[in-house]
Amino acid sequence: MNHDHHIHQHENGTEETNRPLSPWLVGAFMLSLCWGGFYLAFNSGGFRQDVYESNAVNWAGGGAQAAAPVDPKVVGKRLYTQNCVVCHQPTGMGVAGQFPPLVGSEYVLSQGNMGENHLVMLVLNGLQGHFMVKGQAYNNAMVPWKQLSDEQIADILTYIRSDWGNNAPAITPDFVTQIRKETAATTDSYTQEQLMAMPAIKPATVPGSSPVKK
Amino acid sequence: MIHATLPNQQKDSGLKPVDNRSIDASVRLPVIILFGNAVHWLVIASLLSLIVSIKLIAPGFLGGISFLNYGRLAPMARDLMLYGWATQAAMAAGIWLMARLCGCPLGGDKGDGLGGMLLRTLIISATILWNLAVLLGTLAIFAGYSTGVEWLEYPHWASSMLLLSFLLIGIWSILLFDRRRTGRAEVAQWYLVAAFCCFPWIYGTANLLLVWKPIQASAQGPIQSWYCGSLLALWLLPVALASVYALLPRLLDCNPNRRHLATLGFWMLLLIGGWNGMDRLIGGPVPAWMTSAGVVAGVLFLIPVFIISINLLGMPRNETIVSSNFPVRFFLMGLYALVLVGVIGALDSLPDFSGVVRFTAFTEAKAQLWILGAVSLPLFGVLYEALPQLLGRECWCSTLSGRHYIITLVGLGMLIALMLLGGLFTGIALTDPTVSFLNITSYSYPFHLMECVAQLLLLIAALILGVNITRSLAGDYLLNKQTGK
Repeated sequence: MNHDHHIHQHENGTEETNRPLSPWLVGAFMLSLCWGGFYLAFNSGGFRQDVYESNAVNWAGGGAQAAAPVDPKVVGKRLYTQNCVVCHQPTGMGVAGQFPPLVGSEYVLSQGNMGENHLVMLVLNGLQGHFMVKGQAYNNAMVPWKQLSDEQIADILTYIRSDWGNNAPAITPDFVTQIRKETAATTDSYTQEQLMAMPAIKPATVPGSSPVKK
Repeated sequence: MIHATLPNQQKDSGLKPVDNRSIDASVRLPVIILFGNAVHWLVIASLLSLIVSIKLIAPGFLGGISFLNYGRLAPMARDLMLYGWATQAAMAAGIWLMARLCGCPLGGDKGDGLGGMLLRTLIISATILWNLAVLLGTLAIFAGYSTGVEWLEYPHWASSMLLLSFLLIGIWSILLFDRRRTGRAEVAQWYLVAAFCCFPWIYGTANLLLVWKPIQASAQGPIQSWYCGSLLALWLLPVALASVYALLPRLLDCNPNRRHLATLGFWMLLLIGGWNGMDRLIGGPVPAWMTSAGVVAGVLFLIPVFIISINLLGMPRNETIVSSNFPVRFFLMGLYALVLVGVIGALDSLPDFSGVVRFTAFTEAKAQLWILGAVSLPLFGVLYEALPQLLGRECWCSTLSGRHYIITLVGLGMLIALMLLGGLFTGIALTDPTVSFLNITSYSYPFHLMECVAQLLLLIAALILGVNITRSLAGDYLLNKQTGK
């Protein structure tokens, strides 16, 4: 082996030629850098921490989208499970003689004399005393649910009006807000008579959304 | 570039560069300890790799013993290759090159006095500490106390010892650079300073966040991928490149031309290198920008790789020197391996392609080529160049060196070709729903069988190097004994 060429601290010739790179190579490097920039722009999910799918959001197409709108029925079901199932049961059938059913209930579906405003009112302020549901008599009390937000109440009501074969239009948070304002002075739970004394607000008839009685 | 117009001026310290002999005398013991132990770990790691690859074709091989199952041997082999061999040899190469390039003996002006002796004792203790940590960490994996984090399997006490030992050794490269008695810094010195600063940062951060005080699980994947990419691109590769930049022009007896290219290559490597590795997480539970950045970095890594290889392979070569000089041949082969690493890495990070070959041997081939080719081959070159100078005499048996060179290249080439092809076939078969999984494993069987042969060749090559270096060092001992008589 050749060991004549040890490392020397002082090189004899230190002039280094600064011959430029081939323009083709420089062009190729520039192109790959451009590609890198475009690739990142289209696949970075707007550099958001909560976007895991690179095609979901990108800077090139319409900017960062707001989170997808949530389905009130899904949220409503969760809230129903947390707050209502104890009495009304996961099936919505209630407990015979104690807690009235929600399935096919005229209160829930705004049938007969009942309106959507009655439903919201009784949830907000509670119901007590003797009342009839689907021809059965009940004598019990439902606590007021004022502590829930307008949106939460709207979600729950929309859910119970759409599951188990119920098919009534959604309740909007705005409607709940309006009723809450109107009944702000109410302190006691309603009785059936008090509720019935108030005029019913019926849902606007939308084709195909008519309640189906089970 | 501004540098090119500056005259080669001496630093203001007014100290004259020390001659090579005194520099070698000051670093001899630590560098020889590091190199010697590195080779001995290389032999053990190659043996373990062979057993691991035999297990891929004969799962029952040594299967009844919990110590020797795949899940323990595979990380042992990989960690020994990384920390026992590559990192240790890189430290040895780095310290020797830095001392030589700076014209400054280890221990600076303290010289032979008490201060100098204390410093040398400290650095030698650090080399022993490093090997102790590697040994104990490996035994811990052997006994089942692995952390389970890829490439960071050593328990927290072993990794702390490794980091401490590295700091004690690595600080010298920075101190030597600071006290350099030569003119403007060479390209090799940039790479060494960068590498010796990067390792504690990378290794410390990854261990802190994954082993010492693990953070929430969702963030561990990206950190681990970052570590794997950065360890190779910001620590091992820069040291290997520093060796080539320092030694190749001198061995070929030509001027390292085009310093502006070297500057560009250096900064591109540092800029892009750390982003390498994230592309392993494509489709995984991480924010999309992380994997996309990894894809871009994987492809753009070709730029520094091409610039560096044009810079170094473009030097005029005297073929008679090349054919007679093993360090030069190892350096050149290391550079070719680096180009191949760049190409495979770019392919592997393109989502469409990686969707086919991911979870096959293809991805593993990149890591193997990086560690055993782009990093190890230049380190072999430094080893062959440094040892005779440190010992002050011709010490290698050239027959053994030649066999080591040939068998390493054949084994490595065979291993990488088989893994790439096997991985590609397996990947294509995996994407075809009409092919059953049992069929796919039988497709890959011949590839795994031949990989065992390749690993056997690599083990033989490592053994030859081990015999060669033991012979060299023992020769020193025998020589002393003779003269003593």
